[in-house]
Amino acid sequence: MEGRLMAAVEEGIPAALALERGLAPAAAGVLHEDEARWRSERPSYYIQTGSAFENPYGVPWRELARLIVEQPSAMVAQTVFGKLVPDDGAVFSFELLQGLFRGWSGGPISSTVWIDTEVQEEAAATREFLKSQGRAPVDRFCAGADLARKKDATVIFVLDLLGVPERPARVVYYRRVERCPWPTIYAEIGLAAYLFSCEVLVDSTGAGDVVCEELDNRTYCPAHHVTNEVPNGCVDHEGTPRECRPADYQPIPVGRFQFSESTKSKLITNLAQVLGEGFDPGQPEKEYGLIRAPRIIRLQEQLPIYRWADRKLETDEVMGLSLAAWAGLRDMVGPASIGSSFG
Amino acid sequence: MGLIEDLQRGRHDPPFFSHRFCKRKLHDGQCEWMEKANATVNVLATGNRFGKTSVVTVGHAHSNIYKIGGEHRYADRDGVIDMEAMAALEYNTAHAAPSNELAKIVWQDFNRMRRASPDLDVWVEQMPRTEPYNITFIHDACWRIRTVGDDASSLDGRSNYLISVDEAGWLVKLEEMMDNVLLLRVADVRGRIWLVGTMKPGEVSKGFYKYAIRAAAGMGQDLAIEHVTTGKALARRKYPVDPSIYRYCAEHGIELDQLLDAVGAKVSVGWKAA
Repeated sequence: MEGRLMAAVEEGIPAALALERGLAPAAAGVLHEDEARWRSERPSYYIQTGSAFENPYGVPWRELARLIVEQPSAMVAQTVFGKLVPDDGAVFSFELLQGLFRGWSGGPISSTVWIDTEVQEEAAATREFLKSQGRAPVDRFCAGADLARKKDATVIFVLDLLGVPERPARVVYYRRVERCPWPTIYAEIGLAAYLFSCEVLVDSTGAGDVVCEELDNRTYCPAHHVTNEVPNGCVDHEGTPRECRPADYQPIPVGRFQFSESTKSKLITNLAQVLGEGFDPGQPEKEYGLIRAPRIIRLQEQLPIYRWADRKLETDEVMGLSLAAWAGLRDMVGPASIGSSFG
Repeated sequence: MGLIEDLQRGRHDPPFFSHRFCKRKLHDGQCEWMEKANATVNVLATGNRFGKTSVVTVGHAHSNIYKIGGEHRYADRDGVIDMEAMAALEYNTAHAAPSNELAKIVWQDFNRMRRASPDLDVWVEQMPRTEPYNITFIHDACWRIRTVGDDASSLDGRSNYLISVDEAGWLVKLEEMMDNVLLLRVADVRGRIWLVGTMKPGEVSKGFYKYAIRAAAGMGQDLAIEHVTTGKALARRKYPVDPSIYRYCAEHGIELDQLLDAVGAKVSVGWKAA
């Protein structure tokens, strides 16, 4: 019975029709016809916000007014209006976030990979042209990769520096890789370097140094999305060479960033400065910031609550973006005009 | 309308159910929550004294009495309920909070409700005052009230059609609890999770904040839940209140200057009006 239902589902037969044919729906987890009648497929999320003013049986408005006048605005925002209020320990203010995502008209990015296909195609065309001319790639792109430790993820960001500083750099590639073996991570770094013909700045602390050495001694095969130790080529599981041209293998240019207390501080401070570059409190509508990004949910989650004591925080995307900003933008910023590097 | 008609209406009209059987009139925000919070993960992130705990009590009462989410197991295609099947359906909900004091608020709230409403009281089989708090209904529904502890293990073991977590803004390990326990406890019965609370400053609410962001993204919305003190430069106001508060009031249709005038708010010495 289950096999027949699975076959029916694979053929695209609707669940209701499958029921009419006497196939039990429960086995394959297909929504029972009756259940469907009572309830459409449950959405994943719902959110609602609200303020104390909405409850006519709650705090008298006179008391709310007293709170508004007498209490600090941050406390009022939180206790009366339910706003998230980051305290002084947060490194990145919400103004910096607003600048980062300004101009993004698409929806939020919840997936683990995102690419600006137009820019990637431009980069591919440029790569092929320069290759045909025997010329080296131009430094239009920069990339940063924060490597996974025991429990977190490897995150790669690529920035398009075209027009900087007159126009902001743009995130054109984002990739998050979780709980994967190192060869997979090598391949993902190789892919980013290949697609955008750029060097990838990698965290070279501890195991990262070993990773960098491996990448120095490997080439990336775009046909099979793997890296191979030089001078080896792609082989299948039986050791038979696969059909790809060694001439197409790409070196993986890697830069090293050694994390320490002071270098990490500089890295994060640089990102905050880059995000706030040009901010004018008197003209908040004026464009500011040297990076624009799509609304990647994990960035939205991590940046507002990031603090210097970050051991217990999820910081993969923050570090990945920081490394990319360090690779391409660290000479572009002046004195900080917003936020505090002291938290 | 008769009792049977009221019961029938109450299933699909939770605000009516609340008013008729719980003797509690929900405000608009609570009505909206009862009608729309039917996703797998539902986040209610509001200011204090919104009525979050109150609406959770009504939600559990409604879920248990009507065995919401289990209709396909006891009703036919025409909506006719098989009472024997409904009574036989094992139905569980759970409410949790960071501490016992917070968790038992809903027990106390429901106890007040049922004392005030005989039509609600008739559904309750027993609700002993001893811990752990359980409220058992006459048709084999059970509402458990627990503390979440460090890891929400107190909620493990049973499938639940509704799990609510109060004061979720205080739970530092909320994400772990969701991944390890709560999402699994509702998965097989396609139940709902209600995360209710107020955001706290710092990293305490990071899990709650993350779910708020994901929920907004899941609904295709941008969630402006941050407090921003800078913004469009405004003319100096009559009262020494940050322009952002004026903006939040405007979002709720409140003219703050008028409100403060009406309540006779005092202006600090040295503050010069516009």
